[in-house]
Amino acid sequence: MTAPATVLGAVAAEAATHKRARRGTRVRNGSSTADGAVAYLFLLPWMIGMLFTVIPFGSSLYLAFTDYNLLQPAKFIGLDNFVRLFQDPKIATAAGVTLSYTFIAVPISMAAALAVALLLNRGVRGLPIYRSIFYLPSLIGASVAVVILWRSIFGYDGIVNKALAVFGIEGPGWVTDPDWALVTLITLSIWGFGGAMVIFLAGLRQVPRMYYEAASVDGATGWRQFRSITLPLISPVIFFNLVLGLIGALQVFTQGYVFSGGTGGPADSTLFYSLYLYQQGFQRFDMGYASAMAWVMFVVIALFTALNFVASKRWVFYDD
Amino acid sequence: MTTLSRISRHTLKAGAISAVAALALTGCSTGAAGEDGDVTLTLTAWANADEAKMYEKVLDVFEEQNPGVTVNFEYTDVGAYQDKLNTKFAAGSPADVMFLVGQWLGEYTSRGALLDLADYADDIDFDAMNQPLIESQKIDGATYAIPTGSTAIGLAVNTAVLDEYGIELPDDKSWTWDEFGDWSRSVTEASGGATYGSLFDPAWLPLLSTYVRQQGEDVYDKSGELSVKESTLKDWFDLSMDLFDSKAFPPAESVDQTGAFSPEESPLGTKKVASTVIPANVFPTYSSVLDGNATLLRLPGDAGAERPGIAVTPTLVWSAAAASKHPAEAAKLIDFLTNDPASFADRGTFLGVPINSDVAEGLSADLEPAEAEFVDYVAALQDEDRDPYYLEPAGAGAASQALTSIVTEMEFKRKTTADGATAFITEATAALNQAG
Repeated sequence: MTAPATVLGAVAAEAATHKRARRGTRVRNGSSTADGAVAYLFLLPWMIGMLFTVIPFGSSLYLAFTDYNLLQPAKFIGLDNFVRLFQDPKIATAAGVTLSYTFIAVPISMAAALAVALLLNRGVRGLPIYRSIFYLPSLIGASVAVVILWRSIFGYDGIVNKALAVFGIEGPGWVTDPDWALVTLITLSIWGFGGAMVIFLAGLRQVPRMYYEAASVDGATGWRQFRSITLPLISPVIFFNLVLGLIGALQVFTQGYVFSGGTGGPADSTLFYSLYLYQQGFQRFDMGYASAMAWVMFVVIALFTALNFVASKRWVFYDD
Repeated sequence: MTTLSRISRHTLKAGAISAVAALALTGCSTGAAGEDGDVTLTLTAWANADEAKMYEKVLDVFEEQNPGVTVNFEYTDVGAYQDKLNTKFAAGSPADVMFLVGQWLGEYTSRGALLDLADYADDIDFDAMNQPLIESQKIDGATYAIPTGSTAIGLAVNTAVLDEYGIELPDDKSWTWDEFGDWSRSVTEASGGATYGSLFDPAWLPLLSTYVRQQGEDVYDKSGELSVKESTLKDWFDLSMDLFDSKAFPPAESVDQTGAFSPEESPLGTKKVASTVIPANVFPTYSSVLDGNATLLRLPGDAGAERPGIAVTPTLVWSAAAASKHPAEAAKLIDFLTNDPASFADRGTFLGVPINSDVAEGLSADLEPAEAEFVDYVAALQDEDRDPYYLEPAGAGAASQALTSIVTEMEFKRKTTADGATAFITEATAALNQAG
């Protein structure tokens, strides 16, 4: 997830939700169509980009039903790839790794992002500096250089273990032990919470202060205010971060590839689904199977997202 | 109406921008043939920065001999090499000439990715090469690969550490695996844990094959089937795990197997261990890292074994891509790298003992002490009666990857050695089926 894409997405989502919110109003004024037009304008570059991807998408869908080794012509084999996919034990391993990564890293990241955003929202002096410091890791976190650095910091003789040794704790092989390698990658992901934090900060700043003032007058505690004012009013932002966070985490590749040298880590403990897909396509030359894996991943992610949208009707409140 | 015209203007602008971008990008494609029949070849290899300079010097000589031919040398570190090669094949722009690990040869040949070099007998002098070695590389009568040189695996030992702790060098012609374990443990004890006795990767195919041969079997038989017995595998795993557990080897957590180590960063180079198993052709590099305080020993277990285990094998093989646009020049380059003494001037025995015996003899005068030790090591093995090498089947590389995973699980006690042996048989059989 690149930062510009996130920002673009944020703006588009804001504009789109505004448009959705006004759909229920009886009075159709000119500003609603104008807002809709602005939304589509921001989405236009993405739509044009999508046109370029139509042919690759179509080829990939066709290849999912073939046996294609990149060096010889593709042979049509029907549903064989999908049958094999659902019987492949490594798919279960890869799915397990990806899902554990996603459902641990995303909630913790978001909680950290929200906590820090709340702290910064209290009117800290030098807010832009803090915001940039926290945001920086999310820009560079998925880069090859940082993953290599992370690997070296968490190596058996690395800084982290040396620091633990000062307290007399013998650190495990964070990088070499199959039980700890994924934890190290999850930590890397959580370290990059800054992107979500910036968006939370923007959302928090839109909550009108008068609600808090009125609540204090009524004797509400900080926690009650948070629960009843802040959370509902920033629920669209939480929803946005959640959806994008999940989609991003389910597709993570670079960190897994660089961390494990393309092998899926000590004993398949960092074998993310997309990494297994890459192995099948580019190491085993089995592009047909890899394409089938890609489309199954697409369907799963689409299902997750659809579930999110359906559930959102219950807990996301737009400014109506 | 205003909105519509605004959108269509924006679409027009966006369309114009993308058109210009597309045109600009087409200009970035790399063309192989330049002007007037100038030929550009690409050679890929794995190398660190120093080795890359060495290759460049060798290629400069080739370019002088063949005006009009330019050779681009592309290199990556050893960990990423196979992936990079595969991706280039996948993209339809493979290197013209490359070296390959024998285990992976089958994957390429079974998909018609490599050139049959026998078609270019005009450009390559096959008669001058070691015939049994060339024959061993033939697949279905075609010659897809020419060995870069011969080598064998050996144990590189840091003699300075042994002197420091008063440990004797073992008799490497007669020692057993048990004696190897005892010797390694004595180093660890004498140094108080500062330096461990030894280290090797039980999953490394040449090493596994050595042990399996000593038990009278082969990992893969000549017809390409998996032929090692489960009990033999279990014995090998028991032997290896015991070396870890008894502190002959450093703890499993401290052994980082991914990532390419330069010899300076390796456990032997950093004096974390006193000895390690290497392909003997890189012995000179380790020797220079250890300031010459190194010696090359035979692996244990050959004496009294069913068959001698250590084998003389090709180090790597040179191949050309079937899709190469300049197959004749690619063949010439391979001939240069194999038969021309000028191509060995800068690299010596780095890729193994030359398979052209005249070239090998010519080199022997100028070898450094460590290189001479390597050549003598291989020559002594060749003089003995050992079974000739034959190629691993397609899928062997994938089986080795599965074995690495299984060995890691055993090292961290997530699998018993018995389960590990069973798992390897299953996964190797599946890998051979998928590839073949």
